Amino acid sequence: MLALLRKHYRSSVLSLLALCAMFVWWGVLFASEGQLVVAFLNIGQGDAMYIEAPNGNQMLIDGGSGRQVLAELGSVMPFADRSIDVVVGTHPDADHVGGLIPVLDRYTVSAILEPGSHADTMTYRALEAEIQNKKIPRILARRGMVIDLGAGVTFTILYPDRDTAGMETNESSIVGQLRYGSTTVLLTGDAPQSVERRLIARDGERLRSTVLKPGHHGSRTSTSDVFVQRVGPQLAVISAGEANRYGHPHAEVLTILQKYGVLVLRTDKDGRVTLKSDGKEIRW
Amino acid sequence: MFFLISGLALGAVQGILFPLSLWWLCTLIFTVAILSFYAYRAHSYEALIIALFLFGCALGSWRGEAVRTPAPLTFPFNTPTFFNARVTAPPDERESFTYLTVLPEGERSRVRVRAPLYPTYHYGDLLMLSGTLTQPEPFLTEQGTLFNYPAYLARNSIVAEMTVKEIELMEPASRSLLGALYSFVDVLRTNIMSVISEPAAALGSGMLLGDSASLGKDLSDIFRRVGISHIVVLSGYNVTIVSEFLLRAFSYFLPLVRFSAASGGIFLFVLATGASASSLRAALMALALLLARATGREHDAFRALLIAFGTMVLINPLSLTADPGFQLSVIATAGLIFLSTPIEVRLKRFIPSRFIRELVATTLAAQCAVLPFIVHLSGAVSVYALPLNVLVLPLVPLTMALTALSAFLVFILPVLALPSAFIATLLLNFIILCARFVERLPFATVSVPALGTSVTLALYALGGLALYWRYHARSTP
Repeated sequence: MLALLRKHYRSSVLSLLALCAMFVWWGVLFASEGQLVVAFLNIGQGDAMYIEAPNGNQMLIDGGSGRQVLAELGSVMPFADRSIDVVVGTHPDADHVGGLIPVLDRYTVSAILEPGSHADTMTYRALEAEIQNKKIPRILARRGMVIDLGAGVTFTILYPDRDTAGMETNESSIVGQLRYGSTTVLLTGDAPQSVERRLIARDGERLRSTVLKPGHHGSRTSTSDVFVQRVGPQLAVISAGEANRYGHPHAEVLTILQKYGVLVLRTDKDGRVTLKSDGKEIRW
Repeated sequence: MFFLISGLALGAVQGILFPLSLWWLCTLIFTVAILSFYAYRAHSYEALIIALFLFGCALGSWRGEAVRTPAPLTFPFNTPTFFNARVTAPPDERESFTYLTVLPEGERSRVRVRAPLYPTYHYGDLLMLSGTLTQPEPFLTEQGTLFNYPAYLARNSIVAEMTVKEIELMEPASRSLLGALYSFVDVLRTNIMSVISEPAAALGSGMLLGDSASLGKDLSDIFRRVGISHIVVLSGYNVTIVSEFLLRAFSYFLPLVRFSAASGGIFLFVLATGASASSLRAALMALALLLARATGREHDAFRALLIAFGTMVLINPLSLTADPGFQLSVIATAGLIFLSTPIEVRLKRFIPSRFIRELVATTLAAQCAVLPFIVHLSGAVSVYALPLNVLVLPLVPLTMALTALSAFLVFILPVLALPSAFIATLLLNFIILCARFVERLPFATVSVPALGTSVTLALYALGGLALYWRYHARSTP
């Protein structure tokens, strides 16, 4: 190998330069211009959604339970990109924030959004230690806040609308609506039916969304009939692990979605689900 | 030499499987003494051989006996318990949990703790653990063969598993050479991951630093199914590449400097990457090669393998019986030594290019040698393993070098590492892509009835005899 290099050093220098040029063009050509990308990452049992606005601003909502999220981020993010603008941890359960720890460790994160509830688990304590260690600004998510990703993409927080201290963790889940032009995605964390009822009462028609992520990995404790009716999605993306021990998604939820003619994609069956929106329609 | 080592192996197996009686050992030693006296007096070569063989047997059974029954723990099983324990191996991080190997204070056997991935702990930390201890049980693999999990754990003197409820760090690790090496490897791993994206980064650091677990179950299963998992795990092969590289790197120095620097480097590398039996085997063989060069003696690869094998059996006889990685590594090396030249000679007619011919021959030699053992282990055959290996293997040294280069360049300036990291990423992803592609081909793995232990042993004995006969017939015309 080395002898070969010595022999043909001119051509090897040239090919090295050519590779460098390829490396630059790679980044240019593969950047998806003018589109919002929402990827439901295939991370086993848990939730992890990667969102990239048309201007390149990035947001990660939950990180699954372990390090699978790193491989997924590696494939959806540009090469050598090691920063994420906003990370949202919808609630402190391990299958949502466990994977955020290696993400915070490996990536430069500008801010983290939390519901303000606590869990006395080893994983959550490790997350808090990591946030403190990296000095990442913590933002308490409350109803009415809007994260403006730029280029017309907004993430509006619909819930929690009250103090979450002492609440059951799922009940404190951050619920938000991602909007780009006329396309909307409703992300619900693990919010149970009680929270869904509250959202219907407060938001009514504004809940209407093109895509719904059914709460709690398709568990029957979320996604009530009336909620699906109000949201009226074309597509539902369920984030669950293959053959998980909870039996998610539950048949009741699938029946309700079928009743309203909603197309269902599942990370346990379809792998990573990537949606692209140009502001008028969502393609997948 | 050969007889001494084979006696050693036989003795070790006997010592592990059956209790040893003192009388038996005494009789053996007495016989050895008489035989060697006779050999010395009568200049009898045969007597010497038998004496050596028996001496090996005695040594082996003595070592085997020592590890046969690990000391039991004094803690109760299957009820909640707690104790202080020190972490005695670098944590084995999996996709969604970590295995910690800990030694409870005042105990002589270890516990494998299944802990959450975070917070992370380090080699040498003193932890307060609470949870439930369970006895490891043998389990059925996907292919339906029974895996002797307790024996596999026992080779690292682990006698219990624990599902942990709470871990508290009592006292962080004090400074030690091993601790420093492990944290240096951790830094290198972080460097690799900062410039190479997943899953390429996991593959790269697995190849170079032996951290195959973080690849994830999905990918490692694919690699195993298509028959290239030996390049993903830090195996003897990778250690051989690193030691070759070290030898070349120091080749401009004086022999003494070169010898000590290269052997020191190999030693540190193997220690830092966890000192598995298969990498120790490769390191010992590389050392034997170095010694041969330094002393100007003729280098005999088979003798080096025998020395390495014998040393490993002496150090930990259980690696002989319960460490598939070590077993595979020894068998593959023996295959390389004996089969690659005859195969290459026969291939001369079909493959004109010397480079490709050597590649095919070595791959074929190793594959042929390990095939019965793989079937015994897994009950499955990877049909495309040969062409895939021929495609992937030549890339491995280059990929390892580029990954290492990137990891070190990050120390100077991360941007400098980007070009090499980019090429490394391409190569690593290419390997992953190849594996994924082959895995989807029809008949990528064919299930066959798993061979029993006795059948496998008989096959190897036959193969060994055939080889012996062949070589012997040649050397004595």
